[in-house]
Amino acid sequence: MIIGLLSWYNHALQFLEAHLLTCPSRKYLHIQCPGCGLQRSFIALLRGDFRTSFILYPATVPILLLMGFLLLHLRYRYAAGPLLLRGIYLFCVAIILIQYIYKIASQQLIVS
Amino acid sequence: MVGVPPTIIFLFHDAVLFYLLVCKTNRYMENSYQSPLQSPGSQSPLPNATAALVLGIIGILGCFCYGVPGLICAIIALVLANKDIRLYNANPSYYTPGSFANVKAGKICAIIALSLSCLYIICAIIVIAMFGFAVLSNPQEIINQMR
Repeated sequence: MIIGLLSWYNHALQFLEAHLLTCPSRKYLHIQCPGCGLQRSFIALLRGDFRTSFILYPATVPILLLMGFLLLHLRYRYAAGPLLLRGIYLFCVAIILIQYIYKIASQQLIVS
Repeated sequence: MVGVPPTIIFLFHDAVLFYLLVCKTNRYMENSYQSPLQSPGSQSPLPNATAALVLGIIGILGCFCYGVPGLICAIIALVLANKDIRLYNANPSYYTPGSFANVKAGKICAIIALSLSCLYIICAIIVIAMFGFAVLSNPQEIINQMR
């Protein structure tokens, strides 16, 4: 049964990999946008490959943390929730901007 | 609908659906809370606190497909947050301070998402104006022009 579940999981991941949404900026302008790599990174994370996930898009784990904490906050209404959410949000934005600047500086921006 | 990338339609559709869902439920709750039977001392949450917070945070994720879904989410969140802040300032004793903190956090997130998506759209426009579509459809030529 475990093997069946694992094979189902693998099939689901392969389905996801085959049906990635293409970024319009990447498709028409051949320039990566600040969000490019998020889906590939998320699939790598689902496969358990943290290293690849971080290389493809460093902000995936903080964004997932943000979403999870948002759901928890909406359910349980923490007193310090808004402040913490704002902090994680700024952290995510900072990581996204830094990785985009790094992409520009290391000339990975233009893809064919 | 031919020619428009399906991603944008999908995201836009999702955002509108989500906004309708959240705001309708909140308005319903607001009406039920402010019934005349309620004693004046009790406090109710602000009507659009949750919607402003969630849309402000989703704005950063929607920021990156031409910036359009992020722009829509952020503008809706900003409008809702401003409305709620005005409501709270009119009579602060009616509403819970927790929901006001939510609204303020949502407003800040919305402002950040709005500015980022505006920046991204402006950058895209500048790039298109600099190179032109003909060059951009051929990536080898961009590299040649940059050298």
